[in-house]
Amino acid sequence: MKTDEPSMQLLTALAQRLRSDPQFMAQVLAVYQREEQLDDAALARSLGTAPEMMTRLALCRRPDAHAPDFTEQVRALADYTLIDEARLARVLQRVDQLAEADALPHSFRARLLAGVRTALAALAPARVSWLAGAVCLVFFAVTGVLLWRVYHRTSAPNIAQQRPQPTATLPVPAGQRSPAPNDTTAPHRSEPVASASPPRRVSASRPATVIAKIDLEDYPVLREAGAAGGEGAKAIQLAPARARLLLRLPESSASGWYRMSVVDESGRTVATTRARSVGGQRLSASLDLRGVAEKSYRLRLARAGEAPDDYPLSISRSKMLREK
Amino acid sequence: MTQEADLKELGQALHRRLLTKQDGRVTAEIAEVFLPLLANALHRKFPNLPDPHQAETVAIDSLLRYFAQPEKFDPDKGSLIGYLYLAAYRDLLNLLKHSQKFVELHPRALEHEVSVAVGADNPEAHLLEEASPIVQRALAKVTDPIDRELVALMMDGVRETAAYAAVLGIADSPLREQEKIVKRHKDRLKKMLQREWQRRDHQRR
Repeated sequence: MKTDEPSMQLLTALAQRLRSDPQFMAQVLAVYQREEQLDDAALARSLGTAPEMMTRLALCRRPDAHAPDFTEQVRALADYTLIDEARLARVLQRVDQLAEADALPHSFRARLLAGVRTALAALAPARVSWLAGAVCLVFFAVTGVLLWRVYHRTSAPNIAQQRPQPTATLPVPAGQRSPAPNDTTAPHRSEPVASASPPRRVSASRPATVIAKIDLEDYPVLREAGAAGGEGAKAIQLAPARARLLLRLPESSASGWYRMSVVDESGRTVATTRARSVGGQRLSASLDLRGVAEKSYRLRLARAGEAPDDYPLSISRSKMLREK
Repeated sequence: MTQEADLKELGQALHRRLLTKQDGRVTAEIAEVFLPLLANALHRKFPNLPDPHQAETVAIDSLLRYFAQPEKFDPDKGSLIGYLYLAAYRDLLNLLKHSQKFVELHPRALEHEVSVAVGADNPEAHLLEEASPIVQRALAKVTDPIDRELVALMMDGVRETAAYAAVLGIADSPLREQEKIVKRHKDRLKKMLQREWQRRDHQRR
């Protein structure tokens, strides 16, 4: 096929030319792409569409955020480009936020400059010498204060440098005591957790997410209650972290809502979530396993109104998979 | 109605929408319909350009100028494609004159040239579909005839619920009900195409 390839290239070239025109969606997409560091394919993926639809979107005019029918305009664009309207609205919102953030320092700087200009204009030439004297006085005063502070800092005992460095707080397994701050007998460690793996700093703003692709056909279904994982049974391996599970469901599974839980040997649920399978083949869900002790569990999968299926699960730090 | 007349009428309709400045889709529609026609017509007119991309660049320039100043086009004086072609044609001639490689003294009837470039006996709908590779590609993913009609309506920028209701055979239902059903179908089709594209993207990678 590909007889339309030259036409597509032509439209893509036009879209490229419009990337600097703020009246067009091409510019919105360019800004979003730059900020999110996405290439063309990743941008299309993030909007859940094909690259040619991105071209069509780029050729559209940008909806006016202040127009009373802004929502309707976004909806119209979303239908026209077969893109989910919520995703499109998010992109527009993000780019608007960026534009506002950019505009803020400029306006502040402009106001500051205007203020300085006004102040300078207000100063009469006769007062310049008086002003120069005042500036020198302030300069000497500030320099003196700074020198005094530097002298006192260097002569004072350096207590601050002996403080332990702040560390990421990770869950402490049951039964293990973390060393008290004044406990000088305890060995100095960067993490209060006994672990064979090297210390790992956890970002507070964006916790690590582990992606686990699991084919449930590969694991035995545990029917009897009691023993968590089942001795010797092949178990799903997960790390005690925030996990995104991409499950391939067993054959003849039904579509619909599923409850996914991590259950310990006493039947207590330690983590749970809900997820929807559209075709009955795959299920994607997030489970927060941070703070869950390292041992054997059951991964329980239950569809509304049906008996749950349990799979052996082992949570262990050493089984850290790929980090997102 | 002849194809030239179809094209002229379409150009006038799109031009009116562009002038309102409240229609976000119209620039994309104009580009998808007229840019390939314009570039093809220029290619036919100037088959031996030193730079093979010159015709495309000039066609794009012509369209961008029109987007920036649409009021310069007077629909009473001719068709939109004729206007765009004339502007592009002059630009290209100027470029060539500057490079002193080619001089054309007698520009021919523009409408005729454009119609030759487009093809002879296509009805308007077919013309639009042919001229828009984006619509063509999306429709290629949809096999169900009703879904195809719905996707085509969406991609043509149709906003009226009644049009979709007629295709779905729910025109007798209350309006609120129609709106709900139409929205559901639109979302379903978007999701379906999204999955198709993801699959294609996955295969490519």
